[in-house]
Amino acid sequence: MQLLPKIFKQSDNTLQRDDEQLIRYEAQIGGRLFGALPKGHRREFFCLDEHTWVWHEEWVDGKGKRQVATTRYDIRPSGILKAQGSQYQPLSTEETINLYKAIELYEQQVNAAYDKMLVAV
Amino acid sequence: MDKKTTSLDKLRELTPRLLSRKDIIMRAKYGAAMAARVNPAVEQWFITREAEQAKRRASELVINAVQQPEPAELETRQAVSELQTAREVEVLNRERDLLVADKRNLVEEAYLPPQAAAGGGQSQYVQGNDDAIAA
Repeated sequence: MQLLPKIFKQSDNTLQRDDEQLIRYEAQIGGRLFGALPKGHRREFFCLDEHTWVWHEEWVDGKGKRQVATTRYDIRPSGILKAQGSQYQPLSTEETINLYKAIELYEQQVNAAYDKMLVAV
Repeated sequence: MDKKTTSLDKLRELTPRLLSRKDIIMRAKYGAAMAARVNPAVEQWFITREAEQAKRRASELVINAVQQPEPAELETRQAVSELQTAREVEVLNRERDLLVADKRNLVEEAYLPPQAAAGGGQSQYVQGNDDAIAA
């Protein structure tokens, strides 16, 4: 119950808006799965839909310039592809295993958070 | 309407969305596992991990089975416990009987005339009364 005000700041959300806010909430949980971040760093990791996972990272470099990196993982029947900008490439074995481990953790933690909310109803 | 009620209403309204997200995440995870296993090296990693997990589960089952008493053992334990209780009750009853008997003796001794108590027949008091009746 205490999580709600953090997720929903307005009460007149449409279904789509609800989903967007839930994804934003999940992205925060996902961003914390990989340990502490240096100051000025922002990381998000989330499930966009059934076939897409996103890793987003923002930080300020040594020259004070804001940097952004977004990686999209496309799940296809033939394998997992990584998209950075306009470039697509298949994942290495290690990256695939790491991504899957992250997905498992994500599912556990997001489910736990949602179950807590559902119990309150 | 207070703040808590509003939050609860919002949660109720949101429940289908939460369930839908859980479902999407579960399917996305399943899809990722399927896609990842296309890579033979990743497939091998999955197989090894599943075997390790199965082994761990099996040893946990064995440990649980050893730690949890069999029904027959439980019955024996219960019977022993009942027997112990019965014996304790018996001992307590015997002690109580002895105490009651002691108390009865004490009471009887207290009410008996001194000579009678000493084993010397009737007391003076009783004798005097007999004389008065005879006169």
